[in-house]
Amino acid sequence: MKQSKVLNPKTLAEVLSLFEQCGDGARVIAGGQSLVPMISLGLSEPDFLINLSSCDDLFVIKKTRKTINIGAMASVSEILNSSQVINLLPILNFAAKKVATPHVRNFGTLVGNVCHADPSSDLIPALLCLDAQIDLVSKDGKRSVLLSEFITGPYSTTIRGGEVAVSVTCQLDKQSKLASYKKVARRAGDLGIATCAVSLDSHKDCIESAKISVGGYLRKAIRVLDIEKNIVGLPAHEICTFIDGVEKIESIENSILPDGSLTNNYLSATFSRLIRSTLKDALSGK
Amino acid sequence: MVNGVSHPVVCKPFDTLLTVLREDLGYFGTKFGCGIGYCGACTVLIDGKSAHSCCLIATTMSDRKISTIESCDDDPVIQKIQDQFLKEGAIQCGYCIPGIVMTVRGLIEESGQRVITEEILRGHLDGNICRCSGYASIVRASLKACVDE
Repeated sequence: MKQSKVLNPKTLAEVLSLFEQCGDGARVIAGGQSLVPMISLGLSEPDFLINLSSCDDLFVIKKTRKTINIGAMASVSEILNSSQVINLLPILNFAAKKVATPHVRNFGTLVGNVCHADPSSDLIPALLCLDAQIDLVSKDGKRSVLLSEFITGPYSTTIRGGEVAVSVTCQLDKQSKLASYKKVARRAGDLGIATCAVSLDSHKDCIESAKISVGGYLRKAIRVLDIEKNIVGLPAHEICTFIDGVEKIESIENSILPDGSLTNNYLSATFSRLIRSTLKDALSGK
Repeated sequence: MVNGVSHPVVCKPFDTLLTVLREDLGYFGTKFGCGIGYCGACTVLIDGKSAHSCCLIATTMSDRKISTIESCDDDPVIQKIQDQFLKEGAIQCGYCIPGIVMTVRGLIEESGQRVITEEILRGHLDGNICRCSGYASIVRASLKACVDE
C-alpha cells in the first residue's frame, strides 16, 4: 500500500531538507486551492505533501526601494487588501479581484497560482506586464527567473527537483500609469476563456509604452509583442481603429490551444475584441 | 477546533476537511457538492474566513478555528441570517443553504463596520451555486441580514 504523509516544517531550511529526504514523490502545498482538487480528481498522486503554512517568513508582502516581494504563503485576499499593492501595483490588484471566488482567494496564493501555471490564470498576465520574477530556492542556492521563461506550457514550468518557489518579485519601475485587466468567462468565478492585462504610458495623447498580456485558451499566458510595438507612437484615440484593422494577431494565433467546444476563429475574435476593450478601459482610467 | 470544541481525529493523511467533518465528526450540515471548490455547498469558516472545506487538507487545519453551520446554536448572527431566509422563503431544496449562510456569515465578519452593498454581497456569493436557481430571494434575504448587522 502506498505510504502518504503531510509534513509541517517550520522553516525554509526544514522544507529543503524534507524535500531532499522525500525525493520525487514530494509536492509543496501552500493554499492548496489547485492541488487539493487535483488530488481529489486523481490527477496528482503525491506521496508526501510539504505544507508551507507553518513557515512564518513566507507570509510577507515586502516593499524595498525598487521592488515588491510577495511571499509564497501570501493569499490573494491579502494581496487585495495590501495598500502597497493597491497603490504601487494597481494592475495586480485589478487582476486579483477577478481570481475565482472569495473562498478561493482567502486561501489560494499568488506564488502557488504561478507554479500551477494554468494558462487561464488571472494573475499571470498581470505579472507578465510587470516583468515579474519568481524566486526559487534549493539546497544548492537561489535563482530568480522571469515568469515569461519560467512557464513553458500548460501546467509546465522550469522548476527543478528539490527547488521551492519562495516568492514573486515585481519591479516598481516597470509599473505604468494606466492599467486595466479584463476577462471573458462563462460565469463569475470561472477560469477565463480569454484574459487580458494592459499597462500603458501616454504623453500628450500619444502612447509612449505599452505592455499587453493575454491568457486563457492558449498554450500559456503570453505578451502580445506584435501589437505592443505597433501601438507605441500612435495617438490614443486611434488605438481601437488600429486593433479593428488587424486581421490576425500572429502571436495569439500561434499559441491557441485547440479546444473541442470553441473554434479557433471564435477564440481569435474573442482575444481581439478583449484586447481592444481592455486598452480602451486602460486609456479611460477604468 | 470545530465550533469551539477540540476533536482528536485519526484520519487518512490526504483526507479533506469536508470528509473529516462529515464522516469522522458527524457535522452533516456541511454538504458535499462538487468536491473541487466550485459549488460552495461545503463552505465553512476558517478563522472567520469563508473557505471550501473540500479544498483543504484536514491535517493542515489542526491549529485553526473552524465554524460549521452547526455553530448556529451559539451564534446569534447565523440565527438572524436563518430567520431572514425563512421570512423571504429563500429555501427550496435546501442543499446549498448551509454553504450560503456560512458565506454570508463570513462576509459580515470580514466587513466589520463597512456597509455591505448588494454589489459586494453578490460578489461574495459568486462561489455558491443554487441548483434550484433561487438567487433573487437568497440575495434579498442575505442583504436584509447584512443590513440588520
